[in-house]
Amino acid sequence: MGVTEMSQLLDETSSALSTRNLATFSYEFVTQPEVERIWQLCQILQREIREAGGLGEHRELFSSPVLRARTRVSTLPFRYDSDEADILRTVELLEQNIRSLDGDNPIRNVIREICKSLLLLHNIGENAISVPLTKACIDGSLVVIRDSFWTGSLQQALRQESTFEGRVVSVRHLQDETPTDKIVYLGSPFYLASRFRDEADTRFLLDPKALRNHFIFLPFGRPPEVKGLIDGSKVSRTINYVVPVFEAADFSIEEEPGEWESISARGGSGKSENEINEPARFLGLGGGHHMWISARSGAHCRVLCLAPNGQLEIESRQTTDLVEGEMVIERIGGSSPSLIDSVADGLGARRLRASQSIWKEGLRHKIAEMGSLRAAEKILSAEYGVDVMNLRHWAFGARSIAPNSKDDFVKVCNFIGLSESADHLWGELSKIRKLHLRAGSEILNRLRRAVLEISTKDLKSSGGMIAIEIEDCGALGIFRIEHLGVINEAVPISSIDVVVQNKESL
Amino acid sequence: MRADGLELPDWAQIIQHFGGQLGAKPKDDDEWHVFTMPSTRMASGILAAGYLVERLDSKEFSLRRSVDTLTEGDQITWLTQDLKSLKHGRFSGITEANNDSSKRIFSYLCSQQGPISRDAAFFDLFRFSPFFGTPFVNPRPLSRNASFVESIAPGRLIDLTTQSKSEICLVGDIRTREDLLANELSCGGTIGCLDDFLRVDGLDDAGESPHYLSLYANPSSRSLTDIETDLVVYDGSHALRRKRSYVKAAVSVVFLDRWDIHAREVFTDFKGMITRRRGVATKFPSEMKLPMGVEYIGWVSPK
Repeated sequence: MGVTEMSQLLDETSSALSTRNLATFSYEFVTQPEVERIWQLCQILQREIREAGGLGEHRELFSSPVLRARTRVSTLPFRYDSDEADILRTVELLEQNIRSLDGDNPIRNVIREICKSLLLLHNIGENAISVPLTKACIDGSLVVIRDSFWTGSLQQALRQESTFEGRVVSVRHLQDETPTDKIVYLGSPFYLASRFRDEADTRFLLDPKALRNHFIFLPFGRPPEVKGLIDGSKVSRTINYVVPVFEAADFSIEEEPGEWESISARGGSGKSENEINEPARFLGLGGGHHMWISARSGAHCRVLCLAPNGQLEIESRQTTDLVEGEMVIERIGGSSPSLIDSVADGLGARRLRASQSIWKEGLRHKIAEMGSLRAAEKILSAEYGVDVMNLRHWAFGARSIAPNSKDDFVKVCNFIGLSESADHLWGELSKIRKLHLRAGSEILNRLRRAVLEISTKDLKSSGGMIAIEIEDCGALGIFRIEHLGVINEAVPISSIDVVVQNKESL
Repeated sequence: MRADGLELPDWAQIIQHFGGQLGAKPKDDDEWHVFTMPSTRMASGILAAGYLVERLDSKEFSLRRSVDTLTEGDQITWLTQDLKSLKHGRFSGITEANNDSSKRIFSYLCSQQGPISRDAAFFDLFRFSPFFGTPFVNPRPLSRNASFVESIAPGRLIDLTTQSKSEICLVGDIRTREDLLANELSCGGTIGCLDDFLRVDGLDDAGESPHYLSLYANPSSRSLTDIETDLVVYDGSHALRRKRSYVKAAVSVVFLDRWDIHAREVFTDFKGMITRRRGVATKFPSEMKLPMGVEYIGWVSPK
């Protein structure tokens, strides 16, 4: 504290004010007849779906994949025949889905037309946006897109295909940027401002972060209204451009989920009686990954922070307090997501795991024999006097070692037929518990040593993810949080705290 | 005011001037003032400084009670002759000198040196209890930067540093702390930070006298203590949302960063609250020009 210069902070505000006061806006319309046709067909599709009763099934089978494809080809500069545009898979999916419709269903015809246009685009290959984008980018330009899902891959693609040396950021994360000379936006102001099931966010138009704000977009989306916070204030801004094509399609943009929302919508399923579901929050991560992080009360994770001395350090953070843009440290891949397990094994727990397996398998076997978890709970509670609240975790939870009370443990052993070895097992499991406690501090030490070797420069140039290797922990990733789910969902415990590559879930 | 020799930027001068106006006005009504900006760095501290400079001219700041008004046990403070440190003690009594009935002896228990007696005629007392801020036990240096404070308010060092009142409450997150502690606020060749001048309790108190004039409240703190003050400055939507109900002040100023995603929603709530209190909207003072890119709205309602 106290090391920051006041002049620097004053300049921060002065610069923000002068940038917003002097900002200019320019609009470059891109033409691509097939994409325009897809937009027109989308309107027809929406109408047909409405007329067919607005069924959720139709939206899921037809509207969602079509809108997803439309967004990709309308707002991103990837080649139409690239993996990112994903046209072939989309067409395949749509063709499969229309089999569920009668032959004379009008939706079927529209989808066929859309598929035709998509395939034509695939054959064209060259994206209409890429040339104006390359031209518009000057040294160190900032490229802004709506969906943070694409920032890493787009930055990589631009660097590979051109002399681009700038950065790509999501419009949601512009807040953290310092004022600059030029920003190139991909998408119309309307599209960039719209948020899924939320009010439009026009902060980037009201108080732009650049003196020159250049928008490259296919001509869809009327100019949004940009108001200050206070009614009638002079800071309100008029965005002026004339849309050469129809405007009505604007409205469907608002209800279109981003890629992260689509991925998270696919998670959180798979309930069965014995499956443990726990509250978790979706994290879209840098480097093309995502995960569900535990949102249980008191659940913590490790994040990388910048200490006042300028060095990186590790902080424990309650998962409910995470914010977008933070760097979270998580394990990559592997069967056991638990660092504690791995490190405790390295400290000597491995040879004791057999006892843990005997006890857990014995319990699971008995539950299966009883027919259901509830039946086992009933008997254990009524006849053995065991507090069965955590029985599901003892049997099926990978992180649960054993009951905390020896009394309960011995009673459960009696129930599952392990009464003779109960004392021995309790001794072994208690040792595992102690090693888990030791592992907690050991992990932190090892992580600190590994983090000391990383510089803030490495982090900035990492594209949102840095992999580190730590003894007994395997590969760990330091991931930037690109997207944070708004609400907690009940997710199978086996899917929680496991980092997954985005491609794996598509 | 800046170490680089430049004047404060226009927007900061206007905010400082506005703060001065608030300090000079009688507090007959409840007032709320909201500013929204694309960045609010330094704004709250500068407004508070403008307010305090103006308040220094008020009678309350030059008030010195006579030693005859003290009762035994009262806390007293006085400046050392070199003006570099504060002494603290408790009043014992006044007696006549044995050999001279016209001479009065002032006795006190110095926190550092124990019982001491002095000729009352030479005893210059400045301030008395109660203190605003955390009570202290051991006397500490007066300020890390007395000459800086002297230069920002010439001739008022003693009034400023020995006064202890709840003038201002600054509510804000880590950025507000950073603003108040940022170095290189230059004044007359000396360098300091806003904290040196505003004398903020709860900010960076090590080595400071506890004679505070301001209080820093962290909106993330779970403390729900009510605060009573003359001016409260909420720096950011989080500060306003979390602490509004706990601070009672005649004048409330709010700075909202328009890039803060919650600013709009919090402002709407705040406006609703003011409307329910039948606040009458006011415009920015016509003699001042609102900086371009800054939004302002004020409300006044009778107490």
